[in-house]
Amino acid sequence: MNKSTLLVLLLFVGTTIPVRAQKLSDQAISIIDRAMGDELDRSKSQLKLNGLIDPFFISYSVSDNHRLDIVASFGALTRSAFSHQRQLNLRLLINNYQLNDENFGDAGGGIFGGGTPIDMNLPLDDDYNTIRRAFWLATDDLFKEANETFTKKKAALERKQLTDEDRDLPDFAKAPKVEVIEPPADIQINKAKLEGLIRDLSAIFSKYKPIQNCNVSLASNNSYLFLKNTEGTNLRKPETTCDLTIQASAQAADDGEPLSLSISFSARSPELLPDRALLMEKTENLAQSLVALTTAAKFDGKEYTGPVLFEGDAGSDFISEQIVAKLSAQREDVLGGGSVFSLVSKGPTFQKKIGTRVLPASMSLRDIPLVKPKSGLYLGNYSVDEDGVVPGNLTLVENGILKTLYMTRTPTKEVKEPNGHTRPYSGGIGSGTTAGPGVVEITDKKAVRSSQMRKDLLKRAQEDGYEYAFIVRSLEKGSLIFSEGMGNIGDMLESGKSLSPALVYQVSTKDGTEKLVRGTEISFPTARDLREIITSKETVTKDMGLAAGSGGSFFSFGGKVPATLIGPESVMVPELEVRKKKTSANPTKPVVEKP
Amino acid sequence: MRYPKNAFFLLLLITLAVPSTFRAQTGADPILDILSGELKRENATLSKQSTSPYFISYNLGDDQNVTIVSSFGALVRSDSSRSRTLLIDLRVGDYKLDNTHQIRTNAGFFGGSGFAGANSRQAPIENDPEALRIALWRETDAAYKSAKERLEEVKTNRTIKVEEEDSSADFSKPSGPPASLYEDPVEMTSFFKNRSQWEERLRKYSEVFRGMEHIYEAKASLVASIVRKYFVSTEGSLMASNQIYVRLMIQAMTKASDGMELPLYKSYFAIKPDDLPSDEVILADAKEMLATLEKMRTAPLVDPYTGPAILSGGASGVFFHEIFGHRIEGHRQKNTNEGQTFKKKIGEKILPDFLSVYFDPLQKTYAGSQLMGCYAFDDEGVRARRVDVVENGVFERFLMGRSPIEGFSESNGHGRASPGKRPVARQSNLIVTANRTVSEDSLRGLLIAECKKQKKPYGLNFVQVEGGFTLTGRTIPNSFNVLPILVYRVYADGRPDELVRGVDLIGTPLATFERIIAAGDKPETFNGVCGAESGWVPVSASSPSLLVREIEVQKKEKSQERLPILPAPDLKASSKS
Repeated sequence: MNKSTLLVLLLFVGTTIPVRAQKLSDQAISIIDRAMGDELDRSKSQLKLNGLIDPFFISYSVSDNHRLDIVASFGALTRSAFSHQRQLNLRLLINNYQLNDENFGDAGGGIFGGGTPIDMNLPLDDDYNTIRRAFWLATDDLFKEANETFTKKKAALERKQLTDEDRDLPDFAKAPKVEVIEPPADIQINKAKLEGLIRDLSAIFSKYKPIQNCNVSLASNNSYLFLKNTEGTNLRKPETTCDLTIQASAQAADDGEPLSLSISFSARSPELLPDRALLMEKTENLAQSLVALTTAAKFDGKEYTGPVLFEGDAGSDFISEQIVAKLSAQREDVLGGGSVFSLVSKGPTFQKKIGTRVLPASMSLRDIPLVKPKSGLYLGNYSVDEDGVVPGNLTLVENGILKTLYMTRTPTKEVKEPNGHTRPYSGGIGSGTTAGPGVVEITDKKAVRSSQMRKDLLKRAQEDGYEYAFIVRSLEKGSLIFSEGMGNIGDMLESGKSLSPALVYQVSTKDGTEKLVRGTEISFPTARDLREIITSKETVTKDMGLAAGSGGSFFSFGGKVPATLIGPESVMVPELEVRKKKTSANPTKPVVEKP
Repeated sequence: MRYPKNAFFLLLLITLAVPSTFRAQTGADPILDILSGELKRENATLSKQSTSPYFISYNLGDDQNVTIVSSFGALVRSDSSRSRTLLIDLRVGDYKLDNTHQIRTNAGFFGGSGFAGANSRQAPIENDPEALRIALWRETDAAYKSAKERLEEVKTNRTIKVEEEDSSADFSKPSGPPASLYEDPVEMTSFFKNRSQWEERLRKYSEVFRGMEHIYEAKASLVASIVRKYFVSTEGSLMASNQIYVRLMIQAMTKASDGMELPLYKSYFAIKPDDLPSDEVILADAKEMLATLEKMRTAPLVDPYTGPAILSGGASGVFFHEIFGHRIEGHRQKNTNEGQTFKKKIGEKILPDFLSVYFDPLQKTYAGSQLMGCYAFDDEGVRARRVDVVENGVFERFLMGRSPIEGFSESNGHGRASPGKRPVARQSNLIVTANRTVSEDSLRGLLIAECKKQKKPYGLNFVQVEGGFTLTGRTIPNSFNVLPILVYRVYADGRPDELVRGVDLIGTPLATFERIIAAGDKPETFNGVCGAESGWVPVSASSPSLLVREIEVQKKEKSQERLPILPAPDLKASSKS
């Protein structure tokens, strides 16, 4: 094909779509608000039936979501689509706060568990009647289902002998009435410009022959949440996120080992992503690292149990997965409602460790969702959580001691009161809400300069008798969650629990030279290892999707909560085992040369 | 084979864009050149390998869609999408035995068909040569490796299992010249204009049901679909053609006081938006649906019944499509997990001698209706042709893709698939003809006479059935399930007809076929989209109404949910807005 036709086509694609504003009109807001309110009032006062237990709590929510997805590979779009959806979500509890139809089966399990919200799409037209109708049918369904579940739960309670503590633990926590009305976000989406960016980022990989596949994807969400409940809470607030992921893969030149690298950026909106020049540079670096990896030496597998330094993205991912994710509380399912998902172990959390030391005594961790940057907002800022509970400044770890956990309105034995951390998550097996972070701030009185940390690293390794130490600069995406969370399944069971680093450097203890190596895996840090970590004085403030919590429901696996991390740039673990990665046979290299 | 070859060729010339200008025209669409260029390059290297492919084809489906849905007068969805899906069929071995051969397992829940594996992937939606070439390269490599691996499995499986019942080849050799067809691309923006006007129309259609007590679901939906199919193969096929349709559907549901859900549908098909019926027609139909739903809601529940019945033309079409059409799809006769009802019936009488059945993808209209199962070449690059499957009641042949079966070594142009799926034998335009017909009135008279003869107080009249589903497998009962929606009792003593609800048709296909005793003289056409292992394909089924001596019905299973506790919030009488 000749170039001129190509140019014409690209121009055609590029110029047809204007800038799109996605703001909800005042009229739309008032209609949705009124329809929800009127139907909620009617349900509250009239939804009763002889022989059924009345609801004591109903909450209605609507999420109006405009989404843009753009995906490109090697300089051409493979997908680009706007979508607009309105989802209704409701929660209906019968009997009372102390004993109701929840906490039986897998929370958040929807159709798989009991007494959980059902999702439905609402009309896109601002049509009072049709919106009420959707709530009417969904409420009716849920009321009947809640009664069915409650009957089963009561039967289970009679069958099982519970401890007094389990028996006395309330099913649902009261929360004060809240009235918060924020206007929708005014986000301008220039689709053509974003398509251009994504296309250009993906085109960078075309220059590198060894790269076999690449995907650059952008997902921009502009949502407006309406929430009303029978306690009188009335909440409207914008929720916007934009995630950009750049991923590429290749095979090692000699043995064909599959290699993959990725980086992600998150922000409140596309304009707040790093600028184009920086993204181009980061992508170029990623491509070069991947190419370097294809000819990197394979780790010789010599025994190494010594210090490992996690820098840059690997540093924040380490904090996200190994520390923050363990801070979410989850209600223990003592009745075993029968959901298959409740059988899946969700990995270790800090839940049982309140009052004990989980981090070095010099370290503290707070969540400060109300603290704003000098200008704009952090991704993790929010004034009210998804349950309508107002957060405060929450100290989770003080001088190394665990004080509390992230909570929703479902009490746990460890923490009984909500603390405003019911957060949205997406991108995993499902999407929904979970106990999770907002703006995480980590401080360490004994933090050391990076230059000093590197010296320490080499010194420690030398003292342990090694000729080199390890620096990890990138971790394989999702490897932490899946290898830990689902550690009891299949392969994971056999290969044991380990971190899969994507970019690992061997640093010589003699002269500090770095050598990229591949084919390593690193043992998971134990509770003891985490109490010994050393952090850098240099800090980052980074908007990112933080792991939705190993303590969340099954569906939150792999999901990310929009959050902000203010913490050390790098983390050193004094003692981890680095071993040769256990792999099945490598695929052969391509038969035909890349075009 | 007894096809009238000359007439067939003439038809093709009319359907095709003039082949001599083919080369010049592809310049407008660079995709074909990219596909054929990369195929050539890949094959040049792969053909030198010790295990080399004997056949490679690239199937690229460019799928443009607009979907609009309204509910009770409000828009619930309006979006458009575009995707391109690549399917590579790469075969190693030879025509006789290749990597797609069925691997026999112990049929069970997961035993399945021993998936033959075809590689399907998303391709760039822009005409960027480099990005598309890289995608083709990567997927060809993956296809080649998995084909090689699977051929080894096939060989082992053949060694350890008993001799196969059907020893025919895995792939038929091409008969005739390779496919050559070029149609100009069609962009959705020029094909489907005035989207906001359509949104407004759809709102109007579902608004008919607004505020109506007892109506629990009411939707109007429109799908405009343009699938551009590119096909190139190492046999020299070069094809770019469009499959276009617009489908409008109204669906509504009521519940009887015992909780039984009673749905009703009305659908319209056209090859361009302007060909859909006018607002007046659709609104009148929606109002009629509303009236019918009200009658259905209070209609008596059917009793289990065995006796004579009339199947309307539309109902008969669906009936034939489900219980007959799916069972004569050629590849099923080879899969050992399939029931193979008709495998040994060639040359036997399976229908009364006044009935014939054919499939014709080249026929665009029948008895005044447009037919949706049209195409010039199938998805394996084989020319479409008419296939007479039943002639004067005698079963003659199967619908064939390029997977040969015992006694049928060639394709008859029915290898079909949606983008990204491996083609298998599928239906096109099914047409049931009768050489002896009676007027619709007389047919009714015959039904009453038959009732009297059988001493039945009434017969049944199946006016509308929902496109059902058919299980053709061997391990599950070989039965059919067409879901009757509108069924009337026709009384032998002259009482007026009476609507009944909760009818479930049961029985086996062969037995039902033998009992057809008369046909009406006004054929009806049912257009729809048919789903099976190779995805969704547009099809049609036309038939006259048929009188069956004996049909068996039972009560439908019903939901145990009671009606909503509170009344609908938007009842017209108490409307707040």
